[in-house]
Amino acid sequence: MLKNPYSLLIALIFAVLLILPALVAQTFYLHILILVFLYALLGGAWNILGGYAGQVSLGHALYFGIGAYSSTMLMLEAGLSPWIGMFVGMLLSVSVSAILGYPCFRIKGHYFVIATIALGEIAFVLFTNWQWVGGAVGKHIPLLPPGLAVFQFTGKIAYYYIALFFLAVQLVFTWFMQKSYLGYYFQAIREDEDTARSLGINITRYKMAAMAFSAAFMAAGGTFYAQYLLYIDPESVLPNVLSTQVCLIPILGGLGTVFGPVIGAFVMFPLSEFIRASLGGSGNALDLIIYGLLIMIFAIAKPTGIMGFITELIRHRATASKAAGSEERAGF
Amino acid sequence: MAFLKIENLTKKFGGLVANSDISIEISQGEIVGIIGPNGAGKSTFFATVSGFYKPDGGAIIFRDEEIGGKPPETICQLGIARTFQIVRPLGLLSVLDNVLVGAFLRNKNRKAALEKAEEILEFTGLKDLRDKLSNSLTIADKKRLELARAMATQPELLMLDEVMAGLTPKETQEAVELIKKINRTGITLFVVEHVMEVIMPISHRIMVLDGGKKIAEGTPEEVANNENVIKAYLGEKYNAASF
Repeated sequence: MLKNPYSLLIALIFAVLLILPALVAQTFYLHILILVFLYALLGGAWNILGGYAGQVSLGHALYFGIGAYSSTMLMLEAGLSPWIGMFVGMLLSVSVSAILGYPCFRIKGHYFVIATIALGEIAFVLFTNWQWVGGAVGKHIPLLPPGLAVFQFTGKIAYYYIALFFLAVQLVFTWFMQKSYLGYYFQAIREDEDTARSLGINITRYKMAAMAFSAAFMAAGGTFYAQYLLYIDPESVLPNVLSTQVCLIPILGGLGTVFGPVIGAFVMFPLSEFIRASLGGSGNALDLIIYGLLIMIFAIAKPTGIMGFITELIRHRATASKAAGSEERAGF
Repeated sequence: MAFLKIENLTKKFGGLVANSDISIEISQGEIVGIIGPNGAGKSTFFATVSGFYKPDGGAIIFRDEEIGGKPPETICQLGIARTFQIVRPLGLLSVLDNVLVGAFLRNKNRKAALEKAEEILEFTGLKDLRDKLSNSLTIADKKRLELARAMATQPELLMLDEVMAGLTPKETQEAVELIKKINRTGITLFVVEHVMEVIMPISHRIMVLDGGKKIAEGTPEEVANNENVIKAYLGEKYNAASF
């Protein structure tokens, strides 16, 4: 991996993020960073299916919700550690994604998108009316003596590192996925389904694989969210706006790239927090308007997102300096 | 055991019979050409054999196995690869990555697949273009890429759908050389082509389609002198008998 000169830069950024909590005393900034990591994780999860395999889902909150509710309910009803609940949630969301994906991947393009919106909404309505999981009121997670086993901590630093760890796992996974045949198959499906089939790729199977990976990371994010805020309801873990956000993050950052969603989250999340903080309640929808504007600008001017700018810069440099050993693609 | 045996293949689109009762046998190592006027059903025939259409009748038997109606990915896995008449590059991937996607079929290990892909780029003369985005290639190179990508799946039978249409005479000549070279490696070729000067010299055998039916089959000379073929291409008036 050290062949890539940019791995040094990535390692450096990661090192800075590791020591950052020692430098940033204000919990507000830590809170923002935790949410940035979480949203980068979610954006990266969506990116596996939407960016690499090209299957746009606008109902991904469903898997986030499954993750949040699984760990919460298993803890409340069976006293299981949220860590176990997280893995159960991941398994559950993978199963649900398989059950839904099998019929849904038979429809294409806009129809697929519409189906995912419908499924997201169905889940929202279902959970809002399901009394066992708290219905519209939601569920509180009781405060327990803090510790790693119960996934509860005092202060934000532990959450910061766990979020960073989750994100790192997802990035490493995506990195290796991109290098393997899976990444190539996903991208082949995105570029041209008939070509993919003519090359022996069972497109339904690989779309389902992409969705399964995507759903698993969404669910892990859901559990983290539940344990971080210790309160969940359909409004917070299953809303349509979350489905939209996790799709906008990689679009902004760069679809089908490993680090695009991270960049997207770092740009988008502080932006909306800043707008909300500076305009108060009246600025509630303004951040969404600005998202929309940004997306429009990027869709027209730079469909490859911020990563597109960066890779172009790198390519430009590489050709300018005639780097002979530019064997690696710049597509990290 | 026949290598590929097609029996009474029929394909209909509603009331339109695109392929009607077409039968042909191909032995291993041959180059078989398919010609015919526009709308003769050549592409439909190709799409049916490669699994993109389900046949409405007849059988396609590849190495003693009925493959008619199987999905394209299965047919490719069995060893029949195809190219598309209208080129379909995986546009945002580089030339190398396009070929790599094909190479992954036989070997999921990246290193081994890369080796295969590099070997095929060398073989097809695309080596210098390996890092180019496939979208940015010229039409001739895109057609060459179609070929390279299909070859990367290591087929026994390669079906080429008009890989020479729209090429300049020089490019056509290069493509002809490439096809001969591919055949010499032991790959059987099934070639649809419009350009007569090209298909006549390279094919061992030629099948002629017209109006969805097979009207002739034989060596290039036999076909060129066949009355039905002349009629189909030039019309009744130019039939040798009426001169």
